[in-house]
Amino acid sequence: MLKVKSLATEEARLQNGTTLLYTAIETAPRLAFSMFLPGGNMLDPVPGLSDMVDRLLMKGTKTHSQEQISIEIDGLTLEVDSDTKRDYTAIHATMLEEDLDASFELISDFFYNATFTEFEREKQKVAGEIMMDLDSPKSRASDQFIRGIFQGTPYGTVGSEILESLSKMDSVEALQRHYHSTFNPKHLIVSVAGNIRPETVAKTLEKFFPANEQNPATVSASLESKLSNLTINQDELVTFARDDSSQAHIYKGWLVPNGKHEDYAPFALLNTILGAAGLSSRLFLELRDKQGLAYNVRSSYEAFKHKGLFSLYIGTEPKNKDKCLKGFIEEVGKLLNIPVSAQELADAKRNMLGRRSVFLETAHQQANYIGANYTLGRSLKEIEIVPEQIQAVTAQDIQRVAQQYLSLPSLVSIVGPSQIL
Amino acid sequence: MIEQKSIQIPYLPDPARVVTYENGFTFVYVPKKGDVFNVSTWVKTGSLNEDDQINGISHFLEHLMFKGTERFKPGEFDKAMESMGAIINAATWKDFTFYYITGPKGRTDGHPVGENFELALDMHADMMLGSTIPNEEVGPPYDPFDPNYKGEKRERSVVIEEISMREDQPWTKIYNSVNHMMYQDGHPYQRDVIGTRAIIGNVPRETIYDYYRRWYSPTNLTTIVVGDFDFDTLEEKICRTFDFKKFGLTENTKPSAISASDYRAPEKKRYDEIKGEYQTTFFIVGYHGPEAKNLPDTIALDVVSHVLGESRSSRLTQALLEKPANPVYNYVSTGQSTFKLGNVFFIQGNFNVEESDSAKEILKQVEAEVEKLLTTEPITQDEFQRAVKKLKVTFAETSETASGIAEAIGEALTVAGTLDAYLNYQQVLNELMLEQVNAAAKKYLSKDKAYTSVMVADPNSSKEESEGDA
Repeated sequence: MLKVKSLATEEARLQNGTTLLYTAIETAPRLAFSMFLPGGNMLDPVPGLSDMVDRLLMKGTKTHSQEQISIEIDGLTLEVDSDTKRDYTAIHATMLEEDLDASFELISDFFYNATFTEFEREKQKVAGEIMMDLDSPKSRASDQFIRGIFQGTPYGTVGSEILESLSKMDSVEALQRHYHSTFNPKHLIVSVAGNIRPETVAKTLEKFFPANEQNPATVSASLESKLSNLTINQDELVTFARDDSSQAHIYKGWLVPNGKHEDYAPFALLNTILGAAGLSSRLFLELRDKQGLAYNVRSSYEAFKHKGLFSLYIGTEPKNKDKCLKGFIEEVGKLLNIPVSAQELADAKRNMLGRRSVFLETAHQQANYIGANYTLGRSLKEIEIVPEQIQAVTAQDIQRVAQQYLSLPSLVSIVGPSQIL
Repeated sequence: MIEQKSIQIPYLPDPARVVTYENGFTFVYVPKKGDVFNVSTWVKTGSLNEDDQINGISHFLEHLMFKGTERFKPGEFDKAMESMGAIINAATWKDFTFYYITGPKGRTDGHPVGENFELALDMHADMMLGSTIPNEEVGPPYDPFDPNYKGEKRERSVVIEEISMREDQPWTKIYNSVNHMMYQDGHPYQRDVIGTRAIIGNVPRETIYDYYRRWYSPTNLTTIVVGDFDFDTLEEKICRTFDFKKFGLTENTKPSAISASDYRAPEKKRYDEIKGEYQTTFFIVGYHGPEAKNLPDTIALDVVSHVLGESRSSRLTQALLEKPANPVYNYVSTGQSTFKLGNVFFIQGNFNVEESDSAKEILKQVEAEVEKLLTTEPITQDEFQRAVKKLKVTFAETSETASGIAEAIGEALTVAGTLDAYLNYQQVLNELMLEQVNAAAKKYLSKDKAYTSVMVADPNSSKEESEGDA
């Protein structure tokens, strides 16, 4: 039996309502904080409004201009960024301990006092950045794939949709309302990792995140159940022509179990075996090594709070589009029809569990992993037993989840020259 | 061994060891507590040692190194490493090719260096010295431009797909364009590292094998191990696994005789425009910098980069993105790539072009900011101090992962040609004066030294032809 080192994380509730998750790493040179506000795009009154709020956090407060904030951040050992995802908005910050107080003074300022005065300019910048990103055929294929598969729900909030909804974000007041209803220490989950005493962290957080009497916004139960029950009713194809594209960029995907579902572990192993192990996965061996159809071919499983997304990707010579789609069907078909071998299953388990230690090497990686999982609804205990759940999966489990989810309708997204679409 | 040195690695408590063997092979051990190990081998070859006939061969070889040895069948290495949860990969660039494994060390009962690491080191060394490059894995030569080719497609085709993939990446495309302009014909840096479809489709297996045996010689190889090991046990294992004699790799290749002074920067063309089916316009401005081994000038330009475009408060970020009422720019940043024969300082960005204005007009905003920095508004003491602080943090970050440390060492030894480029970084940074930074900006970034490539948004353009595809 493979021994997996557990992460010794402690949990505490602070006076301001904030949840503190603390992981001691004595050897870490820097302190890493990952701070999560649950909700993310699920709380958007207009698609992408949360993204806009988080972009504007560091662009001006009641007492500091954008330029002053930038100069202050650059004058510290602080690295800080914010990011909105489907189920949360996160602020990641690393610093040396000497800058702990100065860093949190800055973070606290934009957590409570952002003014959103740069809103109109930021809207233009967002539009420009999204267009720049969509100039890459692969990004375009991914964008229409995710938007299509999540069918107008907040999980499909991607660049092209934000671009369309920018005109509906017409007032600073709407941003402020959203900001005040979501940026509240009561719901804040702070995951910290590094060489620091937990009392110091607790004191700092209580000092810089004073309690807010208001209750923060929460995701509506009806939206949650809409996401949980979301299905693809029939096979679908979305395409976009780029005649200057050298490859066809193909995504194919299914809606699958979320991160808390009992099928999570078997599905994660299925993903490893099919296309996520690296150079030794089935898709890689068959479509790349044997058939030479691609440089980049893989599968991925992203388990969000209410739904999971399983996808296959290949970038191939346009005329090989059908061969690749057929290859996808054949490889998925094998998982439906033949149990994986005992050796392949054992290898996949070791791959998943071994990678954990590589991907959790730094303080920042650990803080983020624990905080994100907690925010998605896993308790510390549940986070800790993921390795055991993976160990317990059988070949029959994998075949069962393959049959249950991958025989359902799927969505295919292709970007490439018009003659192949 | 003929020489063993003990060195202090920044931010790590225990000293590292550098061992040089009689045959010229170098081994570096960096002790770092934790479950994770990293083993990598850096080879002093890349497109630097190629010509027009074999352009892309270093990178193609890198792919083929994973295709088996006398002891291990193709795919066996990948499978063995990945089933222990290790991450394996390799990279080829102008001055180097390197191969690495990062993974959990594994159980230590009965395995003094860890069960996983023991196997990893054995297979890695076997692959570095004993790859057989089987014909059937290379695949038969074929004409990549023949739409009717129905024959077998193996690794040649994988690399050709990688070429296609890169053509679909706007930043790669614009980089290749400016890179081509910055060097004289015949300069080894002028060619794209990945090569051309015609060469990859046709280069004989024997040419690749000969190149491998020629360049993967003891003096050209450095192996770096980062992790928690007993040095003597580890060193003994290195000696046993990296047995160059056994594989007949005893003759050392003469290092490439090319030097930076062999080439002058081309003067004839300094601006290029390519068109594509884009909605936005991408550009890169490149400048020739110091050789990587010139640490003071290299670090001075790192500071300039922070002040000019790498940080939130940087001049280009503020002037082009944050302050205009109606920003035309969508993105801008600066940086420095280090190369043996001379670094490249670059400014890259993206903007929107309306029909009424031209890309050249918009780029004047970038030029104006650079010009100000060189003349009327040199870098201030405040800007300088902020940049130095950020560079120190970035440097500290390197020490947080086994792979970060290994890459810093590998690059210093291979690109700068001396470990001092890594070990002395902090000291040189601490001693750096503002005057040196402003002098470096003036020396390298003057307007007449800039090369600019612009990829113009042209929704009506049809597929352009590159590298002579038919």
